[in-house]
Amino acid sequence: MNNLSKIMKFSKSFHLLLSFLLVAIPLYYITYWIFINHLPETFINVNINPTPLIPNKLPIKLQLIGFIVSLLPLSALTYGLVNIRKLFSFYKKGVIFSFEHVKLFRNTAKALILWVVFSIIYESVKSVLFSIGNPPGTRVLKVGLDSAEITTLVVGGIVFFIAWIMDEGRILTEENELTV
Amino acid sequence: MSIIVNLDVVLAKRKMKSIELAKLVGITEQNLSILKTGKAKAIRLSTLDAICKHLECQPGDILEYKNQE
Repeated sequence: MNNLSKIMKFSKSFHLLLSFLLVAIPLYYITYWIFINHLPETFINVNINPTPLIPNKLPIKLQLIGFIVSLLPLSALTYGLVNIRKLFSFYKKGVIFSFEHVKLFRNTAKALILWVVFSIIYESVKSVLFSIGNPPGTRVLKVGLDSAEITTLVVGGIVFFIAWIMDEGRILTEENELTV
Repeated sequence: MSIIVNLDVVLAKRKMKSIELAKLVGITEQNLSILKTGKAKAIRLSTLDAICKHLECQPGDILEYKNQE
């Protein structure tokens, strides 16, 4: 089996996995917000020990607000997954270099950066929602950038850089194709 | 581009078809068409050499510079 056949074979598996994730992740978000009042406390903890949070009782209005805000990171994540899936559908067909690839890499980088920004907003809103029932003085607004988010930002930057280099490569390939 | 490819003219003068020249030069008809239509970004010296050899002409008969400012 040559390299291209191997790439096509692995791409098929990744394409399938991404298709599954595109369904599973939105389902996870929906399930999370519907069953928020039945989940163990560890799922909704905002890390403000030792002050206890209201134990698992969110009114439907707050559940709805939480779900709507969760659509922000979810949309960025879905956008990224759709782009990566498209990339693998090209690899699956044995097309490994074109302008479309450069565009898909760029979109993926954008999705990663957007995901970080939206995650910060989402986590902040979650911290408010989960502590809104606490007595005054113990309510929490958590705005933070942790190491996972910084890593994602760095990866997003690297993917942007790779897209830029790929664009140069595409110009060279095009020039080579038009050399007689 | 300011470089004009006059391959059509030379082919007509020699009464030779594109497909015939492509075979003699050893390039695809599609590549010869890229050259004829002026879409080519570069031409290899080996290709130019083979075209001149089979059409019995000079590079200047095929390529012409016209200032298009």
